[in-house]
Amino acid sequence: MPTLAHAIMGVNTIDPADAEARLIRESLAGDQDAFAALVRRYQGRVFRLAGRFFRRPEEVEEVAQETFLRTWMKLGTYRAQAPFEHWLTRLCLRCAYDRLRRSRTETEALAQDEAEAAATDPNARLEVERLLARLPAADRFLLILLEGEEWSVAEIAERLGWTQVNVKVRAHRARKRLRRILEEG
Amino acid sequence: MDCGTVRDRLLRGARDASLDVHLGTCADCARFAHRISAAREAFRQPVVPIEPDPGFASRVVARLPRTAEVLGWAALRALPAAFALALTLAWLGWSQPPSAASLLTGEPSPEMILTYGAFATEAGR
Repeated sequence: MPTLAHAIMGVNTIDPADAEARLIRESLAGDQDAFAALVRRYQGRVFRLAGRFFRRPEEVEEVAQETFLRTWMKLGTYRAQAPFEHWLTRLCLRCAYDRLRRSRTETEALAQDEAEAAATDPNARLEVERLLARLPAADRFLLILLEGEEWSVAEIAERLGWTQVNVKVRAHRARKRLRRILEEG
Repeated sequence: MDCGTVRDRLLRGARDASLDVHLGTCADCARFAHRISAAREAFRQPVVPIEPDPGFASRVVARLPRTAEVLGWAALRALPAAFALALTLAWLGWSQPPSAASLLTGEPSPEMILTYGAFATEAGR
């Protein structure tokens, strides 16, 4: 019986939701071709999200790879109660957050380099980038989700597995620090 | 409206006529408004606008652990829990009181004499 991964190489008349469910089922059964098809389906979304948190392309690639590796390992825990994309986004955010916390020193050093480079540039955008480089990684992470992705507190809580109160407290602190930095700069 | 309130409102993304009046007269708040708007724009822009290359999925698949490895990792993760369970069961086994049958048959062990002797002494007081 041809698998879906093979079928989508030919004429595709399958409903996208069914196709996705089949790819997940086949991946769970250990079909790596089906999983590759699932990766190709969502790799753009994962790269775009990871690209919001990391400056170096190799870091974005590493986070994206880590996301899909975790997807493969944890696929059995996906219950299809929420869209697969939400579940995948949550894994991607966790990977990005873990990496930010792990390589905090490295990230801050890079931010400092960029800040120094930008300090001599008269462009206002670069000036703000210089100021934002002083934000702690966790604050920047949350503000990107709130301001960049325009997610609500409830959406962030759901996708990160945090409580809404936790998100609100962190957001409040992040905005407070942002305000101080923008006022001082 | 004071500067603190204006900045709080700007931070929350508010913008109306009363704010514009204040911004027209306060250079510091106008500069803050400009910066907060640039910051929002910066948050919206992807820092690294890169697309995955065609070989990305293959690189991911090449790193996938085989099923046996996944099971191996799962077993390894369960090891501390299994160890704790074994300890608990062993402790429960050791702390079981002797059965009635074992008390009625055979000679009492030195530990039993010591334990029940102590009870008897305590009761006699």
